[in-house]
Amino acid sequence: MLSILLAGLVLGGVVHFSLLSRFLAGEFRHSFLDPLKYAGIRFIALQETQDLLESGEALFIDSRASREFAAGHIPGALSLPLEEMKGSGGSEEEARKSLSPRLLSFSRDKTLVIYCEGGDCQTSLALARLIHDLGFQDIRVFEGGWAEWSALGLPAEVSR
Amino acid sequence: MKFRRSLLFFFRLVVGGVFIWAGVLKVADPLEFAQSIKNYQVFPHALVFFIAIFLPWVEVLSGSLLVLGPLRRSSALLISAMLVGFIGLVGLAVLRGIDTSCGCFGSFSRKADLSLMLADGVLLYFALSVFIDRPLGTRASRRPSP
Repeated sequence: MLSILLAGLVLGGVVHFSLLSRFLAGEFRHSFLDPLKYAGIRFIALQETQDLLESGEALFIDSRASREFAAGHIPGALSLPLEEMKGSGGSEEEARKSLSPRLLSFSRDKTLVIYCEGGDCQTSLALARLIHDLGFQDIRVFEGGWAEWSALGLPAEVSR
Repeated sequence: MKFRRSLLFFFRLVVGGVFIWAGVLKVADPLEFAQSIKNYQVFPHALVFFIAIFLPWVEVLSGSLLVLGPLRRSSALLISAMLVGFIGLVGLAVLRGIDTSCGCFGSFSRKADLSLMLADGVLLYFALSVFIDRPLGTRASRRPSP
């Protein structure tokens, strides 16, 4: 059994040597997003998010569950609840299919700001990857998410 | 006896095949697999990275050895241990209300839920059946002497 584990370690180390080197050099410490593959996605903090909201240049996208969105969200945000879009089977392909028509009317050059709950939530990044695959080139993930936004009492909308 | 051998061979093909397929998909995109592990919110970031780099290879190797024959009991034990870990991880996600895909088959992954735990449970039964089946020579040598 140890020999299988050891062989796995050696193979993983050899085949993914470049990834390991990049990790040891400091890459992927923030997220597991490959900047070479997803050059159009970057993380932003609260100040930049606020500036983008005030300028009205960006489309805000909320990736949380629809009931969370209904309870409160950043003004003007579009609800794209990733886990619900995956359907009962949790399929990423299902989400991809349902995403495309919802974003059809937006230019691929449009700046998008995606957020989820904040903290350890991962749906904003997962959604950013799917949207990036649709051809959008300027996608920004708001790290603090709804938790930071609402905790500071910043403008919010409630859906009826 | 012949039926039992055929059944165990079938178990080896199923479990080994699933592990080879799952491992190959993850080897193709370790960063996506890392993100899937991170979604469970259990392991620290750096550990997630190393698991994503090495675990898929252990899956491919143990699956291949289980199908091909050499070290099949060791492979079956290792696969059983991994399945116990996967079931525990999915169980934890379900208990904590984490809604995520399992990350088991790259972009073909399904939702991490009770039905997945059940499917893993069936694979665990198959793998353990292969593990507890001792080779013929070993059985003979353990018979008490007259």
